[in-house]
Amino acid sequence: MAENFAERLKKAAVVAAAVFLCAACVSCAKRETPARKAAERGILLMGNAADPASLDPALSTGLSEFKILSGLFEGLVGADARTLRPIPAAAKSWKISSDGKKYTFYLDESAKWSDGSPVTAGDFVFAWKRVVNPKLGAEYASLMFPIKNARAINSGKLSDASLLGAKALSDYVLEVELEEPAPYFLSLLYHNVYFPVSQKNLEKFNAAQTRDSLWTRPQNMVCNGAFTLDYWSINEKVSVRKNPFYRGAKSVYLNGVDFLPISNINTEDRAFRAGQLHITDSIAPSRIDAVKRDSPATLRSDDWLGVYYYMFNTRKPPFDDSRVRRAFAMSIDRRLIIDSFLKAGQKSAHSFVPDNCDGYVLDDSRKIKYDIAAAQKLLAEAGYPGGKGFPKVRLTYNTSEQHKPIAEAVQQMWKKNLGVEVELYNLSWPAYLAARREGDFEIARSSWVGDFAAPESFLQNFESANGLNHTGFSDAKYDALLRAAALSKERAQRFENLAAAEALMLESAPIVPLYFYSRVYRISPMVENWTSNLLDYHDYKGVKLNPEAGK
Amino acid sequence: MLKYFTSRILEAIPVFFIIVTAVFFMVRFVPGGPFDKERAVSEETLAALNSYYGLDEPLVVQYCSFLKNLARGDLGPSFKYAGWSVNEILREKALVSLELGGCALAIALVLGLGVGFAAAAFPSGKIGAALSGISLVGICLPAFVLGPVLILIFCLRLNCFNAMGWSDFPSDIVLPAFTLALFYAAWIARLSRSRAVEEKSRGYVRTAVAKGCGKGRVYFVHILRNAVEPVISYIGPAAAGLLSGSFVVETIFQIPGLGRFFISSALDNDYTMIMGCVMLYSVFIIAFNLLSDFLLAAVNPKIAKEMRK
Amino acid sequence: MKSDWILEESSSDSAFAKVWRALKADRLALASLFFIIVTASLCFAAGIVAPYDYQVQNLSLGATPPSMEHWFGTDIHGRDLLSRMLFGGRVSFAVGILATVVAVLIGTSYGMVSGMCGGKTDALMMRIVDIVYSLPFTIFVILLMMAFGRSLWLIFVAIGAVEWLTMARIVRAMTLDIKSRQFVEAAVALGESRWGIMRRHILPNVFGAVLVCAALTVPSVMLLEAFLSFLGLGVQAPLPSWGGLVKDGAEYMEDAPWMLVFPALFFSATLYALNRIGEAVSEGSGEK
Repeated sequence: MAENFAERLKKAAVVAAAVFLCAACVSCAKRETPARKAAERGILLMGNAADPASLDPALSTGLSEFKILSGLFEGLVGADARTLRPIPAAAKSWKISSDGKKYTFYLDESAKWSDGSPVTAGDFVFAWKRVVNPKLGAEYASLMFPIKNARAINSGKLSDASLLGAKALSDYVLEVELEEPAPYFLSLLYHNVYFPVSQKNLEKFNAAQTRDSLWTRPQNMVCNGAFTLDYWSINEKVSVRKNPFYRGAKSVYLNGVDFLPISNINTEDRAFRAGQLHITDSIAPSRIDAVKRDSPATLRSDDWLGVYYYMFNTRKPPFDDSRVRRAFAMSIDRRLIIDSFLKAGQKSAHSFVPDNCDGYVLDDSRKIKYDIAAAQKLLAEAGYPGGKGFPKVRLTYNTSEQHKPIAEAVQQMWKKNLGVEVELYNLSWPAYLAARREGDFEIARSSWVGDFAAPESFLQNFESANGLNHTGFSDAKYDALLRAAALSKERAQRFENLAAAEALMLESAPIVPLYFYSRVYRISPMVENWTSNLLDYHDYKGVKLNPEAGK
Repeated sequence: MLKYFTSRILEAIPVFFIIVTAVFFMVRFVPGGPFDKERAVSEETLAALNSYYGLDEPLVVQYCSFLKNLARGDLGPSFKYAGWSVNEILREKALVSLELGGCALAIALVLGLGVGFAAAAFPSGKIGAALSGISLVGICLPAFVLGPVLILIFCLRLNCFNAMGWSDFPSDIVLPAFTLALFYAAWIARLSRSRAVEEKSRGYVRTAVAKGCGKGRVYFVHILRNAVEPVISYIGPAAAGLLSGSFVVETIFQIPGLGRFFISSALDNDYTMIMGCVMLYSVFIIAFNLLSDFLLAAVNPKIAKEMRK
Repeated sequence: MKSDWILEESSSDSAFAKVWRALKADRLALASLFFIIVTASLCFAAGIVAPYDYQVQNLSLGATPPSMEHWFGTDIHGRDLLSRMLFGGRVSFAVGILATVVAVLIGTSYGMVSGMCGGKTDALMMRIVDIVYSLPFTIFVILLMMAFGRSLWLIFVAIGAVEWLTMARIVRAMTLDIKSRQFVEAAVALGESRWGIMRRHILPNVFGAVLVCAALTVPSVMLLEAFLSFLGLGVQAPLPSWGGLVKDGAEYMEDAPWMLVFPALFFSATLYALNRIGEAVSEGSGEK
């Protein structure tokens, strides 16, 4: 009887397995990939590394937000998709006063909000005043500080917001007064904090002075960009669809873009391979060799205006001695790290500003060298011959698959080349930021991506008063050189001052630049006209989708 | 019986409050505020943000206003997602997790009980050992290995499903639910099997067989009823865990569920969100434990009698 | 003063014997035990056995498949995987065992005291267990790590501090049961102190159950360690752990499968073996 029962069970198991297999086979019947279906509808599927924390241009701080916002809004000035030169956008033309302190923008009268009303100079003034309003607590308000009185208003020293150096001379003329000449001001204007918002719309949702309001929701948001917000569900996706009121709507090929916030880089790659994405945000270095081998056409690597570096806490020994810092900076084989862990041929960094940032180049002789013998000598001079007697220091980095292997490799290089023991210390993102802010580190991983394509975007970080200057580096000569650069009339003169400043900083070596960023990602052959530039700024307007490609 | 459950619920209330209070103060002792950004945020801005979210008040005042809002069922705005309230996010994401967790629970029960009983049915034979051995695999392989392996096989090789996402309903749920279920299935299989084996040797089973009852009948009617008992008490907390989402599975399959908030809110210092997650979980745990008590009473009159005391 | 049958009923000797008998009867469990002993001793002797240092890199070598020099291949840093697995196993076993010891110590004493005291104390103590039980474990551990920094030591305590709950419940239930048995009542009548009863009568009798529970706790702690590694909250690099190695391997599963296969194999086999042992003991000795 037992046998009988066992037999029956066995049979049942076989039947169940068969049913499962059949079901699997049926669903295996040729599946049309979501990417092709979307391409037929003119919808671009993009991977986005993180979910937007906010879609309010005043409050957005990250690149994943900017990717979406640059489709939804249009600033005064745009950037050429390749060269990043300022091009007309909401403003059709502009004038700069001879002292470089006054900008007058003439707005395009045909520009409309997605509710049909015209985009006016008043909307810009409203938006900018909102950003600097201390009550809003916009994290990136500091990007507005070149504008006259912006800093004073934001810090509460000036309570009258109307003193902000931005005035609507008429509905279509906007005058901006700067605190000091800022040769890079036009390139700042396509950062999202400078985007206009519809005053009418925000007032309707009571959003003028508050962070928490519903104006950024799909049915509520009024935009002036090529797209409008159609759907937003946290951790699922953000969809934007074509804005019929956009003045250039006829030349926009896409019907929409879906941004998928895929936080796991391997998940994103699998999604791309399963045909669920047209463009990924990035690709895991572990996959790069295989992709190069199997489908190199889908792999893209664009230079990006960013640098990955380690910084020293120069306020505390042993890194208060510039010889120690330079020894550390000179004993890392950057090429080996790039080839081992990054795999996409990133450029090794021996200086802080990426080469060719708006034509700026620092001479090789002024950069940090890779010279182990010299490094050992410097360390010996500082009193630690062969690393003897060197105190135990920590290398602090935030938890990430990208940072860990590099930190491990650098730790070994310092041990091998200098004989010093460095302990790795990995912290969560907020704890890492807090440690950095409070100077509670010896060496810390860091990185910087330029907000605008000019060397100032990098070099300003080392001004004595800069909030990002966590290293404690402070040099009056450096500050003076940057100021001289701002006042330079000639481009060559400005760059010379900047180069002198950078060389001065590198000589003191508060940082160890490791490599310059590249944007490495996969792109489907269905996507045509995808341009790239240093800022990873993509204009969706010109992008076309061809569902037949790559069949 | 009713009295038993009322008293259990009444007992749960202080438990709930102690948890909420403990976590409320704990999150505020974690270094790094919720508003730190890569770029330096000015002191004034931080002060404005702290005062907007009431973080500049003394802790006791914060706690009181938190309780006041809680009484109204308002968990406050999310610190990370400007413009979204915690209530709204949890409501939206709970639906996804309930769906996924429910499916996973069903799979886990069917698979676990099936394997467990089948293993127990074979009298100490090799098949029984093999089945229980297989069921242990679920406990031995972390989901972050199992998930990607399943995706590689079923999505990228066999091309059956999407590799991630939550849009294509029936097909998108299969792999994540299965990945999630396997671990629980293994536990259920183990619990049900060991109880079933034990019951088989009991006197009443032998009596029933001697009396001429069919073996299958004895098995299904007598043994199973007793063998589900440990499973039911296991299901309580397990269901709470399943329905509140799983970080690993939701990350690997890119599912917009609750599980990711449990981790990300803690990593981002999103205070209000942490509180929301903790409260939701506690409510789930308390509710499902009650439910499993209830089920136990329904299955076993002896337990019901004890509860009536 | 004590009569012989009391001693016999509560001798710890018999609990060990029972466990051993249960293991002997199950060949798979015996093999599992053998596997665990061999693997664990190899790992704890990693300093002597391992062919290479776990952190010495050879970046120009990179990830290579298994070869004569590197039996299990190398990882992306060119480090010998076998050596890293041995050292990693040491960390994982240490985490598992230490957390379990913490859990056993807290759980057993808590459960016994609760059960012995009974009444209101018992109710209160069990309420506390309920409270900790309803905390979402992951949030708890993450907050703890963020608040107190990251150290291996803290991971043990954090995990042990959560895993004792089940143990406390089981021990308490058994204590209540044993307390009402005749031989304990006899001991009470003979004037033995509470402490003496706990030590001489209850502890030996719950021993088997605690052992089973511990055998099942070790693998669940190891799995938790793997989960923490997945979150990036595991041990500090470059120290390896099995969970961390499996996690790294999972990243490279397509391009360097050996990086996943070997650690995953040993990790899973260990978890399986520990589970198998626990199960065999619980079935064979009638403890649950």
